[in-house]
Amino acid sequence: MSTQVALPDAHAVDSDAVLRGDRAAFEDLVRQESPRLYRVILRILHDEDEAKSIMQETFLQAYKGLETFRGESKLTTWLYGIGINLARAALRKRQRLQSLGDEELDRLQPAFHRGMYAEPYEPWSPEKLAEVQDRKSLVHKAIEQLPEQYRTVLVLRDIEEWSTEETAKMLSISEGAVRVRLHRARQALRALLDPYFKR
Amino acid sequence: MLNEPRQRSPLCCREVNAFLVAYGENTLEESLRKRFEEHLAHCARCKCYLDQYTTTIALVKESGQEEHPTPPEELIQLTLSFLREQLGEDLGTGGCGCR
Repeated sequence: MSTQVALPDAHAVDSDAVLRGDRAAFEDLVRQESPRLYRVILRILHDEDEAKSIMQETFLQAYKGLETFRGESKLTTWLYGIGINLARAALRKRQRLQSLGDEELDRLQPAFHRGMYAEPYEPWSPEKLAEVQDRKSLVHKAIEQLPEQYRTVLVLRDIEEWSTEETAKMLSISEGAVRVRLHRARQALRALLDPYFKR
Repeated sequence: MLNEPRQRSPLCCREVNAFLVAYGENTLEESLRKRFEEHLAHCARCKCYLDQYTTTIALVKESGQEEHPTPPEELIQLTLSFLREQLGEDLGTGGCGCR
């Protein structure tokens, strides 16, 4: 029995047929996954034209590379892995001067002294959290400062809400590495946002 | 990330910080989760940091809720045309996409 993934409207994507190189089945895959794949790539790149181009390249590489799919993950996970890595490469190319360096990211991590936080933390002001105009844009800009490897994990885990396991497979890193990068990304963001929300 | 903390002894702030992701994923082993929460109950700094940390996650999720345009049908058609051209094969005419 072939493996099928349901499309919202009519028929299911037949993964086995896709892997056999069935062109109509691959077209179904393109139709099904284009919306989300485009959105994920766009969240990484923040450039519509580039995202469209990367999305097309993703499907091309996937079709050409079907024989290399080893079945260690879902077909869609493998497909997104291709797209995400293409997007990351494009981002790294243009991000060199724009994002935080490793030392700056380190400085945004909390410091400890004898096991305790080295500095005090005060609760954020609920009024400021509610008041800050264009809060989404503020958070967006902070995310854009993150180095690519941290930004990508944050997008996949906290925005797209993929599991640690799926994220690890897409990025070809360990689950432990996903958690470490996610934690450092979140802590850096907290520090970047703190001046806007503290009392 | 830290090595496993000493068994049964109270956690310090640094250890609690190291387990924040696992706590949020609900993957901490039961006795460790209890020690984690016991520490939070009496450590104002850790509680405050956790609040800011979880608020940051919520703000990230909120920022992702903004509308990103769904690719129009024409982009899907363009993608199929692109693939056909690159592969020199017919990937289907697409039409309205209905069957």
